[in-house]
Amino acid sequence: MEKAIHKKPKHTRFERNRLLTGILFLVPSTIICFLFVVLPVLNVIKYSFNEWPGIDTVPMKFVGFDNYAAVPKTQGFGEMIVSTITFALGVTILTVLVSFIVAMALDKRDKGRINRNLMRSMWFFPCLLGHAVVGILWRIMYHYSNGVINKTIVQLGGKPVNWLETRVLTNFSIIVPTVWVLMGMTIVIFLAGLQSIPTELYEASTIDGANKSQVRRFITIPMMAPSITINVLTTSIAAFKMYELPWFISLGLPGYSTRLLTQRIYFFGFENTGQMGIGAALSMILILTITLISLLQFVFLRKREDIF
Amino acid sequence: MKKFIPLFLVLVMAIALFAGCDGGTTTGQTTTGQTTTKSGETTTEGTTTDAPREKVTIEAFMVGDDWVDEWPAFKAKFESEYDWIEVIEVGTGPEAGFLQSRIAANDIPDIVSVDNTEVSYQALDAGLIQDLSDKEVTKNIPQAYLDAFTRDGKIFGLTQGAAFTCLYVNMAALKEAGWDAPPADFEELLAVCQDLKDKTAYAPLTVAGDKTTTAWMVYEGIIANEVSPDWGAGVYEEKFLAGEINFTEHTAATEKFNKIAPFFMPGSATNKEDDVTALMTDGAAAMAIAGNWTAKGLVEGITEAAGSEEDVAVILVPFNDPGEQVWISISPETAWGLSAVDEDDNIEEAREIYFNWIMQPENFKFVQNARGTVPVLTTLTEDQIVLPEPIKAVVPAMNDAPFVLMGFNLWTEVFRDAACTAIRDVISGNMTAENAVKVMSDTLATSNRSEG
Repeated sequence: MEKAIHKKPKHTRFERNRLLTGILFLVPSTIICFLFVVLPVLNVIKYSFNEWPGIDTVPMKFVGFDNYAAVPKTQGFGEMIVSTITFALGVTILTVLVSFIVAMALDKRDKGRINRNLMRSMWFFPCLLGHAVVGILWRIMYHYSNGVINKTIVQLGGKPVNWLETRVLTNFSIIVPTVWVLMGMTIVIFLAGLQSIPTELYEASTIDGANKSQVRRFITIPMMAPSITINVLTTSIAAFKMYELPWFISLGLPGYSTRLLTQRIYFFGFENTGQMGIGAALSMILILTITLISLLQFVFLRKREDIF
Repeated sequence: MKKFIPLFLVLVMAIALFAGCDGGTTTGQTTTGQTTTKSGETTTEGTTTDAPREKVTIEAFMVGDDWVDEWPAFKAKFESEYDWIEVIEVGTGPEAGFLQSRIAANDIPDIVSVDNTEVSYQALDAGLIQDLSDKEVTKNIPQAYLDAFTRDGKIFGLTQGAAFTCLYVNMAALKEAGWDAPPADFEELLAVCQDLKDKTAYAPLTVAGDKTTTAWMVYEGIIANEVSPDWGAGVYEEKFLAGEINFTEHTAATEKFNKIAPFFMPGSATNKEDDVTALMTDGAAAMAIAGNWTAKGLVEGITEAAGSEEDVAVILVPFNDPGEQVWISISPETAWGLSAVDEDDNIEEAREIYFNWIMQPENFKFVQNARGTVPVLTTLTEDQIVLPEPIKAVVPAMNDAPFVLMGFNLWTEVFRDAACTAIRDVISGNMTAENAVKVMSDTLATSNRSEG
């Protein structure tokens, strides 16, 4: 007699329901993601292969890679690339470094310090301001004749500095306010990281005779590796994407030495150059650059985390 | 039960998405307001309807920095007369970027700032801006200004006034440097600048380099005075539009540019117009190259610095050689156009009413007097125009002077970007005039209006 084989169904009803629920939960965000991320990116790719002034009623003309070939020939391209890299590097390094130091200071567990919450709020505050507002504020502060910075220098007996029209110095002039704005969030992340380090580790190391710098080097920094990774990643992405803050400060001057990739995208795409295709090609370069740098950082910093 | 939650969320989202696609129509009464015409003036009375109208909102992209302070009173006056229309200000002044992004979406604000720029032409060519030829209010604008905003037989904007380049002079500063009269030609201008530098604490010159129109004025005046006496009226514009000006060939102009550049106050390349007003008010600079549209603030500022309006002089910028007539750059100022985008009848009616309203003298004077520019609306009466005295004095000279059109009427955005960046670099000492004119020549050859 043949033995009946009772096959167990691949998925139970419970599992199917759970799968369905999961899919339904994903649908809203998937639709949003598709409409506002995937579709625009696909459109940008399409624009980058077409000649088009950016008006619906004007048909697009397919030009292949001509827009990409035209990008390096645009006015000030070389300076703009140097400026973008300098800016992104400067902002990332300074933001992460200074934020780390500030977070360490704010994390002090000693008593008798001024209100820690107040200090944390003060450091976080710039992060709440609009970038355009910050740009305008700093531009006013940097003003040669009426700016508070030069007025202070003159009061102290120095000579006024042309913060916004001197090569190299202007790069610095746009990096500082950007760091000031971005620091709020990175400090919060570092503080969260610092506070998640078990106190027992510090106690054990102290019992073992470690001094303060050894504690920092062998406990704090290794334990903060995940926070450093996330801060380096997010800050560098923010720096590459930064547009209005540096623009409001320096106008991209002198020459194209503080002109950023994002500003050139806007110029070609939206300042009526009739070259939306070049703007789109620049956008694709930006997307690929950010992706590549993020991947490299991720891999490199992850490795460091493993070492730690 | 749990699986209904996401289902519900999906439904809500789908409804929300489709709800946003209804075109934003406004339903309600479409009673037309009365339009009466008497002695060339058009008044549209929208408040005489019997039943209350459903409120509509229209967008105005028209408020410039120079009259933004008057905007709340201007808006309140209109809304008190037409309580069913709300006007909201959009954009950040007449910036091409804002308009470009709206045009890309095949849309445009109801009242829109237009210029003789490519972005305005695109909007017109795309059928987004109305042809104003049949509007009553065009009768109150001189023909030359209508012609300036006519393309393919269509009037696409009504200008706010006439713009020209001036040199604002603090005579108290010049007297301190040993000069009793403002400079009459380029050589005197250099001599005045040198004396100011040597004998006073004033910086000789400043300009609002942040604004491309004013940054370009510096070189524009020099090249216009160099080439136009030989070329004659209109040729500069033709050659510019065709990309046929090789700036490097005009070495005398380049030399002049090199000579005047060091006298600009540090910071001039990035100054905004407000900064220039502040510098003149503080007595930090003695002279400013600026448009007549900033006359009110600058004259008030210099008066404050010098102590008396008698010590304020406004002259045509003396880039001319000794004995030669000075050439100036002028332009019809930014104009206002009317959207042709299909909307609900109420909105279309409201935008027409508003457009007619702003061009009435008792309303237009808000803008006129805030800017202190040369009036262009013929229905404005003498008592409605409040021009600063020093500007009144320069208007006859301006009317007599030969002129070239201001850069923004002629250039492409690519040229604007390259040329103004180069000019700012020369003013700030980061580039020589020779390199700047090379950049300008190369860019104009490849990016000009005739290239399409």
